[in-house]
Amino acid sequence: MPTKTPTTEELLLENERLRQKLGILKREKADLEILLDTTTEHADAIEDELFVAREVAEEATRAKSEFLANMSHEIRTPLNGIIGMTSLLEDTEITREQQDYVNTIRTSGEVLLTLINDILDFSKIEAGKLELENKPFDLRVCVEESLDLLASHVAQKGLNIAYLIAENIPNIVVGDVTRLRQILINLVSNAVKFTPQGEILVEVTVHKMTQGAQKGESEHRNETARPDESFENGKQSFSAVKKGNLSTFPAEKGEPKHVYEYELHFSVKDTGIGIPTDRLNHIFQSFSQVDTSTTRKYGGTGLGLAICQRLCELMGGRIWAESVADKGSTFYFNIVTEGKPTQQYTYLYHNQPLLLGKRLLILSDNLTNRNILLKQANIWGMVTQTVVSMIEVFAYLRQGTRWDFAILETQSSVPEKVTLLEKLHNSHNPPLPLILLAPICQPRSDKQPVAACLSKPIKPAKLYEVLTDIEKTPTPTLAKVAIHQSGEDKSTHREKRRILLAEDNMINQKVTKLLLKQIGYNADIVCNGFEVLEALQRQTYDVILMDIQMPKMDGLAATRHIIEQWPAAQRPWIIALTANAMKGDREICLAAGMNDYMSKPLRKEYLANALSRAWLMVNG
Amino acid sequence: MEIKTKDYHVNYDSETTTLLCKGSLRLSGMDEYAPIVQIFNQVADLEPSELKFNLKGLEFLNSSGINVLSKFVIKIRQKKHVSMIVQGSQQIPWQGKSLKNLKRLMPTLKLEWE
Repeated sequence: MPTKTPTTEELLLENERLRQKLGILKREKADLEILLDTTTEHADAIEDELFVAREVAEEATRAKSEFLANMSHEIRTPLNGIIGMTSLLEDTEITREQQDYVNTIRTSGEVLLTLINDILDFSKIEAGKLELENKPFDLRVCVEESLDLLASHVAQKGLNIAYLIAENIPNIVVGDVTRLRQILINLVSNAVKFTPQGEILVEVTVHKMTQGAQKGESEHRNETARPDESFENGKQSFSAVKKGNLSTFPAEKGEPKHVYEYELHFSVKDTGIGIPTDRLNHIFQSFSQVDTSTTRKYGGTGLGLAICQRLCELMGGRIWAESVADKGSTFYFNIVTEGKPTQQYTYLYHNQPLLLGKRLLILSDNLTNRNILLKQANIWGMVTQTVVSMIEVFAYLRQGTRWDFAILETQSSVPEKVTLLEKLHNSHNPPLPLILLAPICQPRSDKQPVAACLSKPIKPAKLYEVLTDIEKTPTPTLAKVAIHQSGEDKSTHREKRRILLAEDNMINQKVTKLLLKQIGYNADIVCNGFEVLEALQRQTYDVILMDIQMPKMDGLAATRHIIEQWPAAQRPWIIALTANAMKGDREICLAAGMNDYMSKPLRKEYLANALSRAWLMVNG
Repeated sequence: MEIKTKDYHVNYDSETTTLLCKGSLRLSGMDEYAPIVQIFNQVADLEPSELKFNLKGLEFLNSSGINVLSKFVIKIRQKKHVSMIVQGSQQIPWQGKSLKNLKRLMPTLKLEWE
């Protein structure tokens, strides 16, 4: 079909139409380019905004953390004064009424301290900032230390406290000893709080899950017991461990090389007021207690169990409770950890030649304590006899029964019925060594016919130490067998110890100096790091108690100077003494070269323990 | 002509011939913006002689949102008898950078800053 040739006019019209279309397309192209520019620049602007917002948020987080750290420091400093001074005041001669006032001040200070710690912990957990350490530690020591911390509260309420650790427990486990201790202390302190009479029993059992790794070539076993010199809660901190893997265990000569994964089960059982069934599920919720009357009567924030729950979860376990109202409660928790069986405590589970066949009298009206002592003594091969009263003891004596040792549970380490003890002591020839089992052992006069005192809870290792010490001593007397407290410093040595206290706050200076005086030490005082260095030029010191935040030169800088200027053998043992108690502070102090760390408020017992550790190290 | 949610508020006041966008517009894609586009189209069809576009309270606008705004400006530009005043805030960082591009799309558009 022939096509029609357009006319010139038609071509001109078509040309005009196309020109207009081109104009529109050009305009649309320009619009699209502008749209693209607009969208791109807008996206850039929003990105900028988000970036700035992120920086602001990060800065706010930094500021919040700094604020928390400062708040912790600032609140702890005056609390140190309150708790320290009340503790000193309690030991002075005051009336019963004044004693009551002082108790109230001290308890209030301690409650406030717990509150601060709980709130700080909780805010860290909520912010996902709580990180756990992963270091080897001695599980038995961890349990014992936790219970020891609460011994005075237990004693004040006249309760009994005991623990049982299963034989197959790995002695050394990897984890966060501080946080595990925190869970135990929290549960036991709740048990003490809600138990008007009776006892608290802590049990630890284990379920071995898998074999984690094998270290080294040999599986040689060393049957010799060794002290825990490499672990977190022992004499030295094990600083060379790596985080988060199986090399957390030191590969040491002569140790079993296997590392296993374990599920540790803990229970804290009390004979207290119990929890109604319908409230059991709520007690682990934050800010939740059994009911408002509980809060009014017993205090607390309701954060402790919520913190414990989160800590258990972080440790790969869980926490739960069983309870019967008016009968008591049992709190259970488990954690997953790597562990290594060692030979350290094998002597607790086998016959001991020194004690084999020895006759032991156990006098206690507490069934749990009687059973613990009986079981332990029988394992060692001792011949045991248990009684519940002194009348029974003398009845046996009249029948001609004789013993090699007697363990007598008393309400005080300074018993009132000394005559009866003397009579029992002298009923044997040579005299019968008497071992008191008391809520807390106090220094005793030489006149008491007591060979040793054991504080509750019963520690099998300590019991072994006491019995074997007595057995090795031909005629045991008080002078020869001291109160068994590791690292105890003899009073004659104490006066010769040279302690330098570096502290800028005058109240803290006073509190620390008086606490030191109470436990038998004197200290020179300086106010900043420069003065520490000057003092060290003038004379040598065994121990420096070093505050961190000081004017002119802080404690960390002073420590670094000491490390640089003095050879290791001539260097004093440096204990950080600080109101900084946030995570990482301890590591910062140890990284600067300090040997130990104590957070304020200072407690007399903690200070004494820290100094005991120092003397052990200083004396080698 | 109004949409009000907890995040944003779009409203046309016929008395003052002011179209208001306020809050945070972070809808996902053109489908979710369709109800807003519908209001914008209705406003454009009304062809007020002077249209005030109040963005002073629009704290956040995502990329799809700026696209919707830009297309609306093009639509108004095509209405030869409508003059447009865009009211923005210097306190809101994205507005200082993005609103000036609307003037490139419609050179007669007036920008007023708070």
